[in-house]
Amino acid sequence: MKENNYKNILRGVIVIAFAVCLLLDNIGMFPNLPLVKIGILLILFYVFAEALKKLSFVGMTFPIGLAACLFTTELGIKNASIAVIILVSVLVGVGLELIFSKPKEKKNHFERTTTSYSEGEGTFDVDNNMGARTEYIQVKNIRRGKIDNALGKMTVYLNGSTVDPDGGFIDMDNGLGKLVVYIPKELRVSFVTDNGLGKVNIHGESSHDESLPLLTIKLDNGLGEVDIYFE
Amino acid sequence: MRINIDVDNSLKEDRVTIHCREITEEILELQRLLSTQISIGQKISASIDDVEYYLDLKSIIFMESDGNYISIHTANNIYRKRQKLYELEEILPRSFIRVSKSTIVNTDLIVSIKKNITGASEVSFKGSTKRAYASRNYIKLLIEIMEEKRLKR
Repeated sequence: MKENNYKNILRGVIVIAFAVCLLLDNIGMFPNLPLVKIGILLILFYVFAEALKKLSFVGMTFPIGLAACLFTTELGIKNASIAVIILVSVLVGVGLELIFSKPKEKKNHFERTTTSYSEGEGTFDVDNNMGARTEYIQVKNIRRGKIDNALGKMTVYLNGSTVDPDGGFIDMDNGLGKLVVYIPKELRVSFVTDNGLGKVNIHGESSHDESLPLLTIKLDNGLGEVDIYFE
Repeated sequence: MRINIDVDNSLKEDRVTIHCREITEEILELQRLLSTQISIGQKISASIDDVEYYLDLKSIIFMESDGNYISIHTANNIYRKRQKLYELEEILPRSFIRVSKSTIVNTDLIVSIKKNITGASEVSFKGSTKRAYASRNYIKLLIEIMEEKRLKR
């Protein structure tokens, strides 16, 4: 809770700082300073810091690429096109992910390549960086799960999954991409949501039967879009 | 073209035979329409946990490969079938087409296609919030088939 308050305060300060930069630039207060660019840089720095915390390399290099686009003259890369600069930043991020990311465990017998879970332990871990991917999670007695989507489009189906009688916890994280999650409406679910500048949409309702075990979902959304469907 | 129906109680199963002077586009189209109509009444078996279900093909919105299994989506459920997608593709009627390496959709239930020139296009279905994604390699064929359906009306 305290961490969420701190994040919201920081985001608020950055947005206000950007607004101040816009105003000062408009009234010509500091004509020699590129105040709008500095304001945008503050936002990009925040995005970079969030990605650094999660060790998401693409999340770090992408804002660096955008910042480089703003200061092409100062950096001496005026001849490079913006598309190339952004592509380079994304490629570098993907390369760093490939080099430094830890390989995911492959324990399940359905031979999925980016999902690891073990039915015996009631845990699962789904990770997507870029591209469109769909994952089917059928874990009995979920105790702990993780769904992480960086820049891409990911759809996760929890059909066929159940919650451990002592309750379960899912950590959902969406950066800049689009995350869609289908949850059986028979499950009892509560959300702890932290939404940055993106959108979180919840469609339908979970069960209100208090005799059912509770699945707590901690949802952290940055700039992207999350849709949760109860069906 | 005349249409005759001969009732023969001795037949063990219904049979449709097309008599024609030569094979034309019209005759081929008639054959395709009849094949599709026959297939629509057929069912496919798939399971949820230990229970096996027999699904009407017309209730299936799309199918997605998932390792050695296929996830079969209806509007409200997901069933699993242990089979390869290409094997199923060979026996499904023409209304089911492949839209990516891992997905086959039922074109009769498509309500919209949100095109994306740089990545996968989003396909929406009647009576469901679920989406399938058509890759750039297959989107052109999908749109052609949807256009074909539209013109026929």
